[in-house]
Amino acid sequence: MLKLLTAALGAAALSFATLGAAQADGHQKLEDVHFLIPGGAGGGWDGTARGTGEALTKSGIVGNATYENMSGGGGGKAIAHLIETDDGGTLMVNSTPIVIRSLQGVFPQSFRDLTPIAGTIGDYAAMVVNTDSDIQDFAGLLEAYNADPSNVAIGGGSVAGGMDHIVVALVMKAAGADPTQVKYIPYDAGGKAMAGLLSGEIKGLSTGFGEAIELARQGEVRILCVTATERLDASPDTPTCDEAGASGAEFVNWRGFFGAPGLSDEQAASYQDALEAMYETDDWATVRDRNGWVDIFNRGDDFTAFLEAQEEQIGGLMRELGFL
Amino acid sequence: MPISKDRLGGLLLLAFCIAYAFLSQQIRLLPFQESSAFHARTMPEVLSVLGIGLSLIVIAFPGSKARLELAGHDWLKVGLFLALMSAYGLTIRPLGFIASTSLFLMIGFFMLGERRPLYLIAVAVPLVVLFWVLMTQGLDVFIEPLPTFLRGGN
Amino acid sequence: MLEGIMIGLTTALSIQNLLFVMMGCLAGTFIGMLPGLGPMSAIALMIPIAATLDPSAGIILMAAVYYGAIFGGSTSSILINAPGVASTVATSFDGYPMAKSGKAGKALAIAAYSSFSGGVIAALFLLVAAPFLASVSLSFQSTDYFALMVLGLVAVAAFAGKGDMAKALLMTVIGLMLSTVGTDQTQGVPRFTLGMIDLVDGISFLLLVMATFALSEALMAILKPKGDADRLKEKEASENLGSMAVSKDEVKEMAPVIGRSSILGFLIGVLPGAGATIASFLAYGTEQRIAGPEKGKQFGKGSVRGLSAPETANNAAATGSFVPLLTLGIPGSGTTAIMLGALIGYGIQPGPRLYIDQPEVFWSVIVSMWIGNIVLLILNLPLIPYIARVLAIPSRFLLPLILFFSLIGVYFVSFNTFDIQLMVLFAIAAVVLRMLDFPMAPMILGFILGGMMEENLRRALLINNDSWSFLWERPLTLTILIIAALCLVAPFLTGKIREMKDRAYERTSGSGD
Repeated sequence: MLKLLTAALGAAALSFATLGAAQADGHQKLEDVHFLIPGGAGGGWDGTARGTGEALTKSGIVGNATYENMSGGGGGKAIAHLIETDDGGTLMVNSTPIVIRSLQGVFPQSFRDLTPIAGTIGDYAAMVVNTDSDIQDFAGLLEAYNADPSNVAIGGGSVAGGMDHIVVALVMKAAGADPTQVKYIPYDAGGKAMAGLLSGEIKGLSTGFGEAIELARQGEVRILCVTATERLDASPDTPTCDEAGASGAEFVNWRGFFGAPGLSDEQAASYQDALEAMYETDDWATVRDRNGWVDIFNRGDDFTAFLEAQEEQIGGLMRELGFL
Repeated sequence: MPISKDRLGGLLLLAFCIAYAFLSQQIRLLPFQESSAFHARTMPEVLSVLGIGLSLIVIAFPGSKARLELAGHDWLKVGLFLALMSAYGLTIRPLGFIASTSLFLMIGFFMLGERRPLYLIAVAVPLVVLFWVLMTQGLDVFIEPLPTFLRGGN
Repeated sequence: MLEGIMIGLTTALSIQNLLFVMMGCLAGTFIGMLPGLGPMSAIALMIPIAATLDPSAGIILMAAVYYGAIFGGSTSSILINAPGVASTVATSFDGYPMAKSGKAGKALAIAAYSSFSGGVIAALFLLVAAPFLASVSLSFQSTDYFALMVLGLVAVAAFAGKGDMAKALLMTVIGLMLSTVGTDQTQGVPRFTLGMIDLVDGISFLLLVMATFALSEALMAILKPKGDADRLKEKEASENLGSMAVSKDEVKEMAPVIGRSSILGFLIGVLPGAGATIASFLAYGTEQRIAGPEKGKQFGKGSVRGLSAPETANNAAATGSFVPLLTLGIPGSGTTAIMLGALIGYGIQPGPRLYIDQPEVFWSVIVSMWIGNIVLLILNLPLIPYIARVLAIPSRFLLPLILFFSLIGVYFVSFNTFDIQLMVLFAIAAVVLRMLDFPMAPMILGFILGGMMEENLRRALLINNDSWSFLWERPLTLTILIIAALCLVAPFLTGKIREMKDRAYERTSGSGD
């Protein structure tokens, strides 16, 4: 609202902006960051970029942040734009779908054509059932699945062959069951899939842990297992999928930032330093808690190695399921 | 013209439906997807049949006999406006928002009969600048204001 | 429920949100008055702004713009007999004659009081019905959603004019076809993308609406310029409104009409796809029939009842269309479809869970309806003589501006220049089809409901292992499908509505809901 009022004053708003830039104090690491958002206004990518930018500028780590939305082609339009302009001042936000969509061939590029800066936030996947379901734990789900897979409809908020489907297949395979038999029911959004679970039309749900935990606290759903490496503080009683019998089934849905392909090592490092410094600030804590995000930070080569491992994990499963 | 409006529209839509039907056959399915009872091609196929059927009905039994009146319409001007809009889409990024939009509005006003240069500029430019200030400063919507060649390097 | 109202009140009554309501009402009235721009375009233009606000504020802003635009549409119907959108066509039947006889101010006042009452009463129904329906709809499954979509689509046919049924159905199918462009939501297969990366995400609803309504309307005005006499008439009408007072007798005459029309409007608005246009015609027709021969003859010549009924009903229906949006996540009309898109942009999934998960959003929408209507009455009515001056803006300035705002409204959401070219393409098609008297509204409806219908059907089939038996085995699904079948038969039984719709199609091919 404050912003809108200043805007109405027009000229006043302009001076306000320059004043803001001048205020940045000693620990400023970067002058400007231009965020490129591969989707439209609103939505997950938009929120991540604007939230990160808010924390960076408010804490004075970055002098000024601008945002540019560019939707189209499942994010491919923005990737092509970043490669074409090769602008060192731009950071593009992206997430797990960049790996999946480039495997599917939605766009011809992959993360290798860009400079991975860092993964910043993430969410683990969870296997969920309705509270009144007779399935009590992951072993129960596995038992029902092994008895008759066509009787265990498992929904998710992505298309067949998309992230939620891959997670189910990953968990089932790790538990020694046949991943190709999964009866996956696609919904066009996680929220709709949750409504489907609560209406009783599907037996189980593959979704983000962040989305499931709220309803689990209200006692509406039961989280069977979560794809983290160790139990999460937010829900210490929920076993990891690894403990629950799907050995090695680990998966994280990350969000992070990429730079232009020709970015120098120093430039990349300055972005990484800025993002790393952000985690210490109260401004970031505010933004993060408001959105319910979970910190995961892996920068530079660690991030690239993580992406390569995820690509191999997802690619292998997609081939097995017949999507590639 | 010896053909009624309903028939002409029916024919145009029939052509569209046939093109749609043709394209629906180009949808590529993976082998295991093809075996499901209702796959990605099913709905388009059903719609093709319905669309072709309905356009044939409209052609065969037109509801009214009214003819298309082409006289008294300024087709040239509409064509020019369509071209102007398309040109706007092509220039908005390279020329920047302010220049391309001002040009778009001034040419538009001019084509509809405003010939006084002062009015053209006085209406278009301040409006565009005000709009730009409102969007970028007030609402944090990034719009590249300047033409490519005026932007600073990296 | 009281607790809910309190949540809504505290959210909606903050100074910030009250300011948004006022700004929204004014902006909406302004936009709604412009030829060709209805509530749908008005809300669409607000999306880039709303996206930067928090969800409650954004929705409150959009709801305010919605009411403002409906009011603005009525104003141009009454003053210059130019209903920009179909839902205010019935308003012009009696509103324009009344204005012509020198009582423009009175006509505007009656319209304002009627739509205020319609909106407020319907919001009361919404308050009662929505939580109840939300709790029922928790158990709705994909099969039931599929049946509801069928019902919505069938409504097109039911209300299409005589001889126009085939055309309306054909346009619905075209809309359904357009909804299949892009990545298939079930199997992830790209369809009809013509190898273009820009079509992978499908065609946005906003783009289609702005191109086929706002752009094509402005282009039609360029195609067939108005004579000088018309321009003069518009200028005069917007300058001399006369007194805005309404007499006691007139209030007495309006009261029962408002009561009946609000109920009727609300119920029709709740049906997915039916919307404000049909509600306004039905209310007009009903009132004419029950007015008796003497009063009935006044209809069309400036009758108070004839003006009050459609105005009440279209606003009540607009409110009613929020019921399926808030409780089922189904957009009942074009406007609510745009709002659905905006809500999803916020990461909010409208549907049965909204009431439980985000009560502040749910309740602030409902409370903002009252506030919006009140603000409209006390803020807009006194200002209307000044706002009406908009009608005097020379079209040589107005039309390029409408084109600009339509293009930029879409571009500022996607920031993809391909969208501008696609809009030009759709605008060409829309102008040609409108010249040939093919209605656009059914196409939009097909487009809204098409994607959801296919998805839900395919999901139901997947869950049921490819068996169609759910269609008759699930009582709820079967019931809805039977109602749909009855709707399809209904038009052969009644002729009245069809005649009315014929008049609507002759005058405008737009849709205002």
